[in-house]
Amino acid sequence: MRSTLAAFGRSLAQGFWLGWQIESNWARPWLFALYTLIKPLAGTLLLVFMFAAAAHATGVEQPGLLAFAFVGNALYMLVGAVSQGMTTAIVQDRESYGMLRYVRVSPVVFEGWLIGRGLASGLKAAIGAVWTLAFGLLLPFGLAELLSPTRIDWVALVLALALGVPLLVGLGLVLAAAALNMARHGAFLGEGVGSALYLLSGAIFPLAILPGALQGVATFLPPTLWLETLRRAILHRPGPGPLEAWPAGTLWLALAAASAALLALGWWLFRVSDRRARRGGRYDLTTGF
Amino acid sequence: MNRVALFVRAAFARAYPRIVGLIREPTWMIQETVLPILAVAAYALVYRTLHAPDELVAFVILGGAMTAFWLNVLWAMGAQFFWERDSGLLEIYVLAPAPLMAILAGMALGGIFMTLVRAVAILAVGLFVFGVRLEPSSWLALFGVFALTLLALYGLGMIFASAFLMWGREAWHVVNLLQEPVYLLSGLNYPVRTLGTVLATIAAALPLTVGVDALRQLLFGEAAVGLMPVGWEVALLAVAAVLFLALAAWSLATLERRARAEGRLSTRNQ
Repeated sequence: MRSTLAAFGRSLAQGFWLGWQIESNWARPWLFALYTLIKPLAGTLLLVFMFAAAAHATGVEQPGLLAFAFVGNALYMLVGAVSQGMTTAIVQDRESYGMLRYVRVSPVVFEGWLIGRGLASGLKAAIGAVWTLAFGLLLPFGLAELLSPTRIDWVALVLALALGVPLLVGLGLVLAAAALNMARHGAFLGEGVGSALYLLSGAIFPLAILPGALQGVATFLPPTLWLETLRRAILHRPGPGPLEAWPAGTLWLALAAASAALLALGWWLFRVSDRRARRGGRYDLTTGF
Repeated sequence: MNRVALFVRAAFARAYPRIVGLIREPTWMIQETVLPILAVAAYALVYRTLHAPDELVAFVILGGAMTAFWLNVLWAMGAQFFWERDSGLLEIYVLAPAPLMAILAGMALGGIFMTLVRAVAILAVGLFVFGVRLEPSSWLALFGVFALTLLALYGLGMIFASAFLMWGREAWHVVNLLQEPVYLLSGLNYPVRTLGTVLATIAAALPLTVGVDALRQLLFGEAAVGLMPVGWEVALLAVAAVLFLALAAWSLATLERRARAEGRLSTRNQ
């Protein structure tokens, strides 16, 4: 058991190292740093200007909702990054670098290696998210007060981030399982599911605006629960929407259960997909489109 | 075969797989239509949550449709030679008797067709789900400005494509970097004036900013809070289109020569 865990840890570290090299060594460190900071910041500032345009048109500023969207958007980058990192690793290593088959036949724990690749993308996104939240302290519209570090429940934040890791990895494994048996466009699966979850997890708007049935589904999605937990830790109050009335204990319990379930589902699906891919000769597939 | 005929035939030959590919691989259609709608819908719902006027929701829809073209310019024009080099096709293009400019023109034609599908899907959702009303002051002027915007955008894409002949993996990251910051500066989801005078003036250098602003003014009149009169924007777009296409032809020739000399046309995975 211990040696299995050690092998998993080594594989994860190797995958992480390789993933980080691919993410970062294409440019000089200063250029990479600039790239890592500008992109997420621009994406979140877009929302700030939308709120400014709406405030100008309606004459009403809504700092509470802006903080809700600002934090949600900054943290949502992590959801997309880990799963996108894992699906891209499958397709890119298989079709572009032609090395997936060699990784699969090597003695690494394949799942560990793949999770490492996803976590490398996640780290880059986390840097962007932290930077974006810090930049929020410089912005007007009441954001500086609402995002103040003194208001943050740091213990809850760390705990929520820790609970999010198995959730993000589980989601990544589900998508990687699908990409393993898909053609080249499987790389877009992460992006596609990321877009769907961006809408359904209420990352930038309260879920109450969604139609009834969709709202019901969206409320129980693991990323929705995770974002709400993180928002409560940072903004120190529940976000508006159907989860507003949930007591903290219920939310934590639901998040823990959802993370565990998603990880178990992802792990199982990936095993099934791996068997299918080996039988179908998909590890050295080059689809060319 | 004379040079014009060769150019036209090569352009159509390159456009063909893009158009046919969309039909032969139906999953592309899902990727091209359903996925972009989701992100656009999220932004539209932000305005709905804020009880913003319908015009702002309409801006998001129009911005979403035009984003599709910008993404196509970046990924399917700018970065395309990077992918072609990775799949070993770039050498064949360079060896072929057709000019690279014709190959790029074909990519643009095929790309516009692919992207029209995406843009129409976004507009349809805007019309039927979000109740956006499009009542342009002149359909002719609207299509004219739209065509001019595409000409300038795809000219810019050709410049990117030539630059990326020299680049390796960094091309992918640069293309990535040209997404969100350009969305921000172009004011795709809000009037460009919201950015303030300094940023809005800088943003006017982007054909996407000027094109979207002109389209908005033609569609929504005063409510568009335009950056400058439509006539000026048309003139800017026309100058940009001519300038970008001329620059693209020059940079393509120059950088192709340099890429040949430095052996960069066949390097992969770098």
